[in-house]
Amino acid sequence: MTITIKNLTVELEDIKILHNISIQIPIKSFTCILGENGAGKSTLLRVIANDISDYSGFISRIKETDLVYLPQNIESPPFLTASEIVSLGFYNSKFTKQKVTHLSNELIETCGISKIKNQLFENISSGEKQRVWIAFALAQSKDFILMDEPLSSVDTDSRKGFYELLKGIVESGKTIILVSHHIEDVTIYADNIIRLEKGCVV
Amino acid sequence: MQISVQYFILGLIIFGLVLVGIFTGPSDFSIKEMFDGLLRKNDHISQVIIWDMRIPRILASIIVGNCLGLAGVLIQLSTRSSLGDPNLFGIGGGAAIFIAAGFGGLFVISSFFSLIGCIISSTLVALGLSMLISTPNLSATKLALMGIAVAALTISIGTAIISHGRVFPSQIIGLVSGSFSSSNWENVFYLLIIFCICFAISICLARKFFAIMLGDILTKSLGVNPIKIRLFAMTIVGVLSGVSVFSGGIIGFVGLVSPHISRRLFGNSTINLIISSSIIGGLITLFADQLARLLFAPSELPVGLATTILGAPTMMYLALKVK
Repeated sequence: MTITIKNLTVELEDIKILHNISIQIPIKSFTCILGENGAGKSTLLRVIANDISDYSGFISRIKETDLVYLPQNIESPPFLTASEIVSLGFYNSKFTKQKVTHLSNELIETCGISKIKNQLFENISSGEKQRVWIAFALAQSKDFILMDEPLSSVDTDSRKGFYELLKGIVESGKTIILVSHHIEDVTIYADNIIRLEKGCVV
Repeated sequence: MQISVQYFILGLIIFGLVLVGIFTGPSDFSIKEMFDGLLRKNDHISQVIIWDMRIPRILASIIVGNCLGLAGVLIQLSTRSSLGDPNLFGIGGGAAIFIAAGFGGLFVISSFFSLIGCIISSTLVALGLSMLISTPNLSATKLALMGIAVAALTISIGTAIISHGRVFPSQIIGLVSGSFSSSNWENVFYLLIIFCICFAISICLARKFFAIMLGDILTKSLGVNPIKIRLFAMTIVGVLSGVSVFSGGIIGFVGLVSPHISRRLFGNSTINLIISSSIIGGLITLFADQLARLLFAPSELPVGLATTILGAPTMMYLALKVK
C-alpha cells in the first residue's frame, strides 16, 4: 500500500511551487520530505494533508478522519496543561473520564513527558511541546501523522530522542510523514526520503 | 479546596450581599418594620420599598452580572484569548445606540420591543466583530484592537444621537455608566428567561469550547468546526449584552474579570468556567451596585463606575502576573 502522487503541480498566488511531482509514499513507514527553505516541502505536505485543494495532477487521498496534520509553529493553546491537551485527543472516543485519564497517562509515558504533564503548555520547551503533539495525535488513534518541521528549534540531543520515539510509533503500525531540513538526522532514521529542490523531486 | 465548597462560599457571599441590599438604604426604617415589609405583614411603606424597589434591583443586578460573566467567558473561550469583554468591545454599545435613539426621540416603542431592539442591535455588532476577527491567525492583540475600535465607534454613534436629541443627563449617565435604579419586575423576568436560555446553550457547547482551545487547524482534526462554534458563541454574547444593556446600561470590566477569577478558583474545565464565571459576574455586579447605592447615599454612583473601580485594578494585577 502506498500514497501515490502523479504529475502534481501546485500554484499558490500565481507562483508555481511544485512542478510535476510524481512520488510514492509507502504506508506504515517513516518518510521524510527534505529540502532547503522554499523548496516546496510544506506545500507538498499540505497537499497530502488535504489542506490545499487547488492543484493539478493526481493524489490518492487520505481520508480526513484518518490523519492528523501538525503544521509548523502551532500557536500554543492558552491555559491548557500538557496532559489536558493529550486527553483532548480522546475527544471523539466514548471512553469514561477515568479511562481517558488512564490512556492519556500511558501515552504521556510513551512520549517521555511525564515530568511536565501538569505544567502549562505555554511554559514547556519546544521539544516537549512536539512530544505533547505526538501524544495528542496518538490519542486520536489515526493512522497518518503529518508533521511540518517539528524540530526546527530543538537541540541535537533532544532531536535524537524524538526520532527514536517516532521510529517506535512507526513500528506500531502508523505512517509518519515529516518535513525537515536536517539532512544528517533524516538519513539515519527515515525509511524513505523525498528530496525537493525548487519544487522538483531530485 | 473542593469545588462544591467553593461554590457554597460564593453562594454565601451573594446571600450576604442580598441581605445588605434588602435591609440597608437611605430610607429610615426599623428592623421590625423592614421584616414586616419583607414578610408582607402590613401595608407599611417598607413593603413597597422592599418588594418593588430593592428586591427587583438586587435580582436585576445579579442577573445582569450573570449575563456579563457568561458573555465574557464565551468571548474568551471562543477566541482563545484572555481578553474579551462584551462592553469594552462595543457589543453592548450596539444596544446602547438603540437605547440612545429611543432617548433621542427617533422612535417611541414599548419596553418589550425596546428589549428586542437592544438584543438585535448588539447581536449585529457581535456578528460584525466576529466577521472582522475570523482570520486564520487570530491573535490577542488583533482581537483587542478590533474590539476597542468597535467600542469607540459605537460610543461615538450613541453620543452623536444623544447630543442630537434633548436627553436628561441622568438618563445619559445611566446608559453610558450603568444604573439599576429603575429596575422593575418586568425587567427581572426578561433577564431571567434570556439568561437561562443562553446559559443552557452554553453548557451544551462546553465540551466544544474545550476543543477549540487547540487552535483552528487541530480543532478540525477532532471533527469540530471552530468557525461555526465561534459564530454561535458570539451570537449568544450579542443576546446577553443586549439584554444586560437594556436592564443596566453599559457596565464594563465584569465580563473581562469574571473569567479570570473563575479560572484561578476553578481551573480549566469549561463547564466549571461557564458556571462559575456567571456566578462571579453576578457577585461582582451585585457588590458594585451596593457600593454604588450606599457609598454616597442618598445620592448614587453609576454602577459602571463601581465595577471599573473594582475591575480595573484587578485587571492590572492579573496583567502583571501574566508573562
